[in-house]
Amino acid sequence: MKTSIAISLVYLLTGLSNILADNYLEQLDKSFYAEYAVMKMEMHKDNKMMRHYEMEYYRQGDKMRMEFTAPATEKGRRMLNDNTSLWMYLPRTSKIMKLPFKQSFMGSDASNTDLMRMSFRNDYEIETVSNQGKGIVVLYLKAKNAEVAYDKTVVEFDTRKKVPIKQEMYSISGKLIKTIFYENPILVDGLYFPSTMIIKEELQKNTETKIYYSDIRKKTNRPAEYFTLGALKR
Amino acid sequence: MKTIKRIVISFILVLGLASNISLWSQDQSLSYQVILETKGEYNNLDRKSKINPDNWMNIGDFAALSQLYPILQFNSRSGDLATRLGVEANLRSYNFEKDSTRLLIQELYSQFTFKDKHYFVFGKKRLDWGSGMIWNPTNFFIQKDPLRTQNRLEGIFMLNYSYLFSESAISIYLFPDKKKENFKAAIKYDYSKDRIDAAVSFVEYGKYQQVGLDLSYGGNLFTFYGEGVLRNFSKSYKIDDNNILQIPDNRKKTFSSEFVVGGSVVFNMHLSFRGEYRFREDYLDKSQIRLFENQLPDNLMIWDAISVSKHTLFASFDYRDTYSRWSANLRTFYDPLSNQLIVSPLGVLTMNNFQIEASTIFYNNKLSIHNFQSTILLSCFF
Repeated sequence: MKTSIAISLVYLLTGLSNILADNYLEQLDKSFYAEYAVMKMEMHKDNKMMRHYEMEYYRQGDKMRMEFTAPATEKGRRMLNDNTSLWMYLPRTSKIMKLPFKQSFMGSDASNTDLMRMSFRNDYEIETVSNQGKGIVVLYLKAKNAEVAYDKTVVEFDTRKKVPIKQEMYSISGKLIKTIFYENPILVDGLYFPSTMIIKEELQKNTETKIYYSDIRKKTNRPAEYFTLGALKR
Repeated sequence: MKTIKRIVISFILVLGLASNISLWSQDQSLSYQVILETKGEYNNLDRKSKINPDNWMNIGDFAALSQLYPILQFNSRSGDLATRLGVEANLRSYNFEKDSTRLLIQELYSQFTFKDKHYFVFGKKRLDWGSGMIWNPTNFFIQKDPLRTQNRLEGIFMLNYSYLFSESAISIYLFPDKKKENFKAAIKYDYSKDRIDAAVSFVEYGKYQQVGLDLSYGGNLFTFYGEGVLRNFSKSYKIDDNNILQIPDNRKKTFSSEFVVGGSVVFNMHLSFRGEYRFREDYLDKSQIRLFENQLPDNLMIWDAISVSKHTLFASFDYRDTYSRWSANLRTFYDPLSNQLIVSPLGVLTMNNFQIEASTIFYNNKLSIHNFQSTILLSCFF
């Protein structure tokens, strides 16, 4: 009898912890989700800005589309990610190029998957959760399959504002590859959105990429067809 | 004919402007860009060239080309309806000579979009078909310069309707021409799912037809693509086994194929490789190349600086710095039947408002006009 109760309690607690873990991943995904924003990206080395880009980005579910508005040499370039493929539209030739998914994004410390990453919930499962107090938890995540860019990732999560604070990405060998700091959470439609991302490449010191989001909207009216290859070149 | 042309251009402009202005109170934008390209070129000629013996073509050692591209786009959106008027002009001048200045309208079109599903285009617009980076046999209308694929090309006058599904699109094209026999029509179906893109196209050109197929696959660190056509006409000259030159219109009207296969690999964040192979069934074989060489320069119209035969190979290594500000590229073209070989290093510096390209093209074959050509191209973006 006592054993049965103990086993039932274990199952109940496991189930509850799974639900709780899933909630954290869902909250993480929600904190990043906005259907429109203006992005400014700056690449720094030794505290000197090497390049910058400005983009408009649209998102719907797991599809994202970007259009470059600055600098002048990149203006009009567009990118589309439908979570399986990545394409770039070049306005000078009206050509669409297919890009490798794991390529660095425009030479930054971010990869295409970092910026256009769609879902923690789909890509990771929580191994452990550590409570740091003051509403901060640390989530230890493991990739669900080899297709995911980083085998392990550790996320410091603010449970009160429901936004990440810091994320560390590790390779299969356990080496720290990248660290992302999330700053300046702003309230958009009742939810906080981290409006600043600072990406530090751990394998190359003194380099970082800063991304600033503004004019954020959680919902737009773009139809699904806007996020297709056909619409990208039109 | 000039009057008709003026009427058509005016109609496109009025249609585009009117639709934009009528939606003025809604979401609208005007975007513009001006690009100035200035190219300086040095030609080191082969005086013993079979194509150009003693430089009878009178090619100068130095040449310059300036091109100014003003580009305008009016966009407006009101609910489910979006409109666009696109204009791109090209003002070009050779060797900075006033008499050589030409104005060309590269694009002038109105585009109407309904619910982001229905697209109507009327006017002159660039058409990009095919996944190949260097060669696109499926693109019946416009071919790139293999030695500078990023050139801004002239569009083609068209009426186009496209319907977009969630994973595919169907497009119908009409290409009117002042000569009735040059009227063309086309239909194209594009499909994209998971990592595969595919397209099937059909072009009707008077009594001639072309069927095309295009496939590409994108991996994490590589892409692979192929496109090919079957057509019952030729766009090229050929020399037959009796040493007689055949012009395109008189060539035998049997179906022949042309295809390209290629791919790219990313080794790391700096280094990548791209390769393509092209096959053209209706081009010269080895015996015909010998005939062609022996009859030069009489059969000059067959000549192509890159390749005159059925087979052409392209390979390119690209190295770029961490921030994509500069890149170094080594490109090679090789025709194994005619033994035409081109090796071209290229350096590109890209800053926020300008880009500099410096390249030298080395020609290593007897079927060449040059020993080498050196080019510097400065592009300014405003």
